[in-house]
Amino acid sequence: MPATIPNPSRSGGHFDDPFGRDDEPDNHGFDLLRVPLIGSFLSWRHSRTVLQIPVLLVSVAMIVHGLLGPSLAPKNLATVLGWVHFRGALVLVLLCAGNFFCLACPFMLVRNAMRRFIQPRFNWPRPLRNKWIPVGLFALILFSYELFSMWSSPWITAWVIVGYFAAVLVIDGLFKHAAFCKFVCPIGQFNFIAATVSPTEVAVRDHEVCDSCRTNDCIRGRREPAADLVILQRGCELALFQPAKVGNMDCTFCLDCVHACPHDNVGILSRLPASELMTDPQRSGIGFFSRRKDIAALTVVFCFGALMNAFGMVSPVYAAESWLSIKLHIHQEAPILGLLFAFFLVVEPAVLLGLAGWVTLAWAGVRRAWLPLIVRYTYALVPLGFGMWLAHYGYHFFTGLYTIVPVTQSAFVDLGWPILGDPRWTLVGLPQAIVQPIEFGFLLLGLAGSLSIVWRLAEDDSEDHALRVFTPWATVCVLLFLASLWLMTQPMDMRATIMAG
Amino acid sequence: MVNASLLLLAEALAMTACHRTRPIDDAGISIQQRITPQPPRVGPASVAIQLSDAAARPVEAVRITVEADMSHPGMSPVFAEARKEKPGDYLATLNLNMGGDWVVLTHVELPGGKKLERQMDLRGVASR
Ligand code: SF4
Ligand code: SF4
Ligand SMILES: [Cu+2]
Repeated sequence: MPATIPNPSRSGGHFDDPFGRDDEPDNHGFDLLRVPLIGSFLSWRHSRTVLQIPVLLVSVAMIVHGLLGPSLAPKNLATVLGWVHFRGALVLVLLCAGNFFCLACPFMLVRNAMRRFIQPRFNWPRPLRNKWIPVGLFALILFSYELFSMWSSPWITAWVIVGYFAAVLVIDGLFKHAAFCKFVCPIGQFNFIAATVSPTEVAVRDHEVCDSCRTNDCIRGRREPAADLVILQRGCELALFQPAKVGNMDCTFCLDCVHACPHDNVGILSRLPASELMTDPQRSGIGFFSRRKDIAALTVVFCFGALMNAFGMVSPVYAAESWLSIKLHIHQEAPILGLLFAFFLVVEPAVLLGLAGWVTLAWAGVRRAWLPLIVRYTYALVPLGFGMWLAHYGYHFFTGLYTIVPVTQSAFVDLGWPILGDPRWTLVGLPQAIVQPIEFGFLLLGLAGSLSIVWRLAEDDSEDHALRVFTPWATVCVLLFLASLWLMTQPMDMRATIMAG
Repeated sequence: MVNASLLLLAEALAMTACHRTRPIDDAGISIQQRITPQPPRVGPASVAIQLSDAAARPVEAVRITVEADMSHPGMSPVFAEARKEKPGDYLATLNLNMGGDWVVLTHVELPGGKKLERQMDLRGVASR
């Protein structure tokens, strides 16, 4: 199957072009901004704000209900919306469309409002202009999620949302541009990584138009003709220069570039999902993926964290924990959980990827150094990791789809304003028999995607021994797939404290 | 509402082990609940409910329903109607369909329309 897809890196585009772009305009068949109604709405300057307002109102409702409403998670908007609907909708939209959560991000609405009054003075420190902070934060969130059983506490959930708003305001109040989105936000990084397999991207419609462009408004912002320092419409705050932008990494779909381009030359274009992982061009605002150890580490946390997060919800995790606790005579949860995380997020990937890299070098004679080789192939795991997130979050989303109805009804009852009637607690969601095949579908899709990427990279690395390059990495993919499959068939067992008593 | 939820929270925190019978007074009525089997596991679980007044005399309810929710949101709750065994003694059977932490809610309707509700943690239901 992979051989039938035209290989962009070989057909001339990415390696020859210093901007690493595809010159064939036919690569993109569909432009969301040209679709009637949706297109004109999104092209409107205030569309982002209009999308952000309802999401902000919902977050405020979640905070209020989380702090003051029922303490039982299944009856509280904070936990139900946050851990069932938001997460599920997020991954499904990323799969079917693109990074539209960042587009509608409520944090950015509040931050933009703040920036009307407070102008940040500092540039984000150079040593921190990478993904190492979000790598740590992402892992920390996954860890705290288990340690504090966040899903079962509306109160903690509400405070996490409040903390997020506070962090955005502090960081973007001090630092210029989109420092929070690009260098801190763990949700954003999750979206950026997942969006590499989305079917759309914000991209240039016609590169020739860019070639003759003199203003570069898409990055500089559109200026007042008489006063160059007055910005009428800001350009990309994430340092992505449209003509040289490749794929969805770091793109919040904020559409600033769309509004800024004076030639109406930026669209939301369709593309082959994951195709941006099959090549390694120089990307505007990012550089080469194969040289970004930080983004590769983010990918590792994304993929192996998907397994760890699901592992925390099935019964074998208790067996593992109590075994560790007995062997090590440790009876607090944090250190045991820390060991499990260290094993699954650090040791396991290091061993699997390290071995695969070593076998590739020894067997296929690829002319790359060991670590850069590993970094290069790590990105191939994204579809598998995303498949696992989809299977897990999709499971909660579909099986708990309708629970939002009784919880909202009961929130109105609590307010003394029962306009929606008595809560119908029997409304739950789709039956397991329907949801389970969907999960397996997601996992299979992930495997297919990862194998295609590995094959494409292998072909580029060694025309004669592509299969030898392919085999070790494909083995890693299959192992991860089998682990995911095993996890999804384990009995669910969701406990607040995972130490067996 | 805030106070009520704080009370519920305190109550939930106080009840670390659900198998201990635990009377809670409200309007002079005490509700004792016992869940078997202990330790709890996936499958049918019986909830025995005893209602008595301040003088320890059995109290009759018009209707008692029992609901069990997982501590994780979005999972399907299970419901059961309690039937009367003898005056003041009621029994309901819940079908716990998943391992993990559950919370059992007992809704009591007294003659005259007064309603009481009890929340009890049922931690660590073992999956088979
Ligand atoms: S990166 Fe984070 S803060 Fe920025 S738009 Fe996305 S979710 Fe919002
Ligand atoms: S301005 Fe930058 S982040 Fe926003 S949509 Fe355009 S490329 Fe993406
Ligand atoms: Cu889960």
